[in-house]
Amino acid sequence: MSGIFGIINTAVSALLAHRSALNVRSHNLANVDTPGYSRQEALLGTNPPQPPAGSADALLGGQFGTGVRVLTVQRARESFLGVQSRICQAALGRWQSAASSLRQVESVLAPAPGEDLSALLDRFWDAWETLANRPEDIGLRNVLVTTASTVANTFRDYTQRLQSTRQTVDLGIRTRVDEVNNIIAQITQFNRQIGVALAEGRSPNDIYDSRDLLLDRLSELVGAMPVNSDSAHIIVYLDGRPVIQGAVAYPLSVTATEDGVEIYSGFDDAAVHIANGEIGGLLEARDVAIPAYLDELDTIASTLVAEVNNLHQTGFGLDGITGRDFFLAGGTAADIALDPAILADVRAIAAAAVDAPGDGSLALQIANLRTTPVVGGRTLNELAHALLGLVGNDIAACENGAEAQQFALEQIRRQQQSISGVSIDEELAYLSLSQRGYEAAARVVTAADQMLGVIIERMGVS
Amino acid sequence: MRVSDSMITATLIAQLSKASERLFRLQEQVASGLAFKTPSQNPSGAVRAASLRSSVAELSGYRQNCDDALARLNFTDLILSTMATSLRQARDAALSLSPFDPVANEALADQVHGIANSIVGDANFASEGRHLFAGHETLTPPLIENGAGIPPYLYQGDRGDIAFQLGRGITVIGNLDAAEMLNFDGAVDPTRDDTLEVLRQLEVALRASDRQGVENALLEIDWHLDRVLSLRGQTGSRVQHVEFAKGRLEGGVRTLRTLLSEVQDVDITQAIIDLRSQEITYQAAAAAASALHRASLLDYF
Repeated sequence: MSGIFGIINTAVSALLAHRSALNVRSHNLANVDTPGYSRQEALLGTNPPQPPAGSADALLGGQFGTGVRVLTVQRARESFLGVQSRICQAALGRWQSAASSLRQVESVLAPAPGEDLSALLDRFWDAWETLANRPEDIGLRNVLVTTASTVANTFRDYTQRLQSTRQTVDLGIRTRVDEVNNIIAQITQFNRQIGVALAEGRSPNDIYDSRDLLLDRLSELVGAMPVNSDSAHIIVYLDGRPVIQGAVAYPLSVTATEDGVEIYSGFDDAAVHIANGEIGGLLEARDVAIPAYLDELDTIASTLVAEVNNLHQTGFGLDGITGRDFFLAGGTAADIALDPAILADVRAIAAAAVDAPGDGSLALQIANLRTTPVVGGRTLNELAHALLGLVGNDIAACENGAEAQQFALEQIRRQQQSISGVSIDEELAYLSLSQRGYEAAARVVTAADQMLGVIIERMGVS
Repeated sequence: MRVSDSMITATLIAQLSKASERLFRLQEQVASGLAFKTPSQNPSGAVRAASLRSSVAELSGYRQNCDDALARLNFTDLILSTMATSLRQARDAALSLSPFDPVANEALADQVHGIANSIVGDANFASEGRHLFAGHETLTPPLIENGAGIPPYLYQGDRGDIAFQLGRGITVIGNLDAAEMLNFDGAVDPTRDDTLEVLRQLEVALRASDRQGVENALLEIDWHLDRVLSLRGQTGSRVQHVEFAKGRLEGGVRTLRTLLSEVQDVDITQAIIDLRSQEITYQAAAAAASALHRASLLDYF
């Protein structure tokens, strides 16, 4: 209504509105460096004018405004950018976790230039070649046995350490699945709170922010994203099965098998295939990359055993006996070892092609396996080189992928921050505006009060 | 575009982090002298470097074989030279036959006997427990006494060749055996006796002052001396062959090592220049960010 009380009401609405606006600005300033915070703004709007349109009074003298109120507290956030950034984070998580697991493998197979399997094989061939020139020499035979034992130990060692890397990866998977389940539980709680708040007609901005932060991490871990991100009842699928349905959580479970841990859905207990996110990257390292390296090592080791044994069986030891193996037959990378007869007496090494101590031609044949194509037209040394290349290329691909995603993510984040980030200068400027508005409204109250005073104290008084 | 404070900080951190990562890489390169430490830093370079290292190992092995072959061939040449000298002495003894002085002839016969022993000793020469002239039967002496029989010595080695590998598919035979040197078992000329049998015949003829016998033996000794000298020539040409191969291998190893260095070593000059310029980039980024940070409305309110 109009009148002096109306004026005071209008001024009071301004006091309250500007106080609320200041409150929001202060909240923004307090959270200037909070991760995931989106700046908020009190949206002010005019109060409905008096008298309402359609009443007779409105026709005479027009409508008068009745002040200001806070319509809503708005959150500055672009949800499309949120989707984009989650896609990037899922891919980034996958590349980074794969790269870090594979780097452990690289430190096993190629600790330094010149200290890899092919250098070791070269020393093995060298030992045979040296023996070929002096096959009766017991000292050289001992050197050959030592070198060969080192080769066998190295294969076994590599195999063991790659297997233990797979176990370390399993541990990482378990930890991350636990984290996923925690996140899912928290998100469903937030969903519940958001539902309640929305039902009361309020926008729970800070809870949205917290939930978005968790959804980002969830995407980084498994690459799962919500279908409808801006409501209470978000649904998140993983491999076609829900993990979050509004306020209901379906946590994942892990079972250990002899090939590594397997992940199962909490919805229908079926096996879940995770191809993205950190867990996806770890699974790829454990189930695709490392087994490929183990296969290569096996190929090299078993071919070495077979080829050397084939030749060795045709040769004669210093004791005139032929038909002996050098390596234990059927050796693979995990169990390659020297034949016990060789370990017991180095005279058993067959360096000769005929039964005479001075012939080293068989040793020379074995040494020439260095340059003999044995698998697919490639020599054993070339296979060892190729393994280095395989590991190097796998890791380089992951690192390049990660770098590209990192760059894209930075661009997206910059845009997000441009929209949602708090600018201290901006907040301070608006803060002073609210402050002035508050002061002005207070001044209006004083003026209206004085006017009332004139009416009460001085009108109709003689 | 609206700029928030967190954007400024995030950009600063990202740029400094990138600059310091590049600095770290360059530092690693300069300190180690290697362009890359792990295969992931340069996969194709790592494979190439490993392959070159294997090639260096292969050629170095062949080169070592050259040295072993040369040692063997040089021993052989030495022994052949000694044998030739001995045979010349036997020849001289034969020519010194004096038909009227049996005592002198006895002395000559003794000398020939000594020469024969000396040749046996040469043929049975062993280095580090291996007999060099027994073919593949290196643990037993090639010549053993045949009781008091004829011929006086038997050859118990074999005719095996000892080959040294100087390259892929390239070998050189590094040994001679006593059968070849001394015509045991008619190895060179089945119609003739072995050298020691001839010397025995000469000794017998000298003791008997048998002029005809000595002349027959002399003819045979000439044949054997020619044989030893031609073997020396053969050995000499093998030595040349091996030395030529060795020179080629040494050149090959040098070339490979140069290639390896080009692949895996860092260009120090370039790396240090890059290091300096990265340091400047880092400092510039930090300075720019600090300028932006200092300006704020807070100073004016």
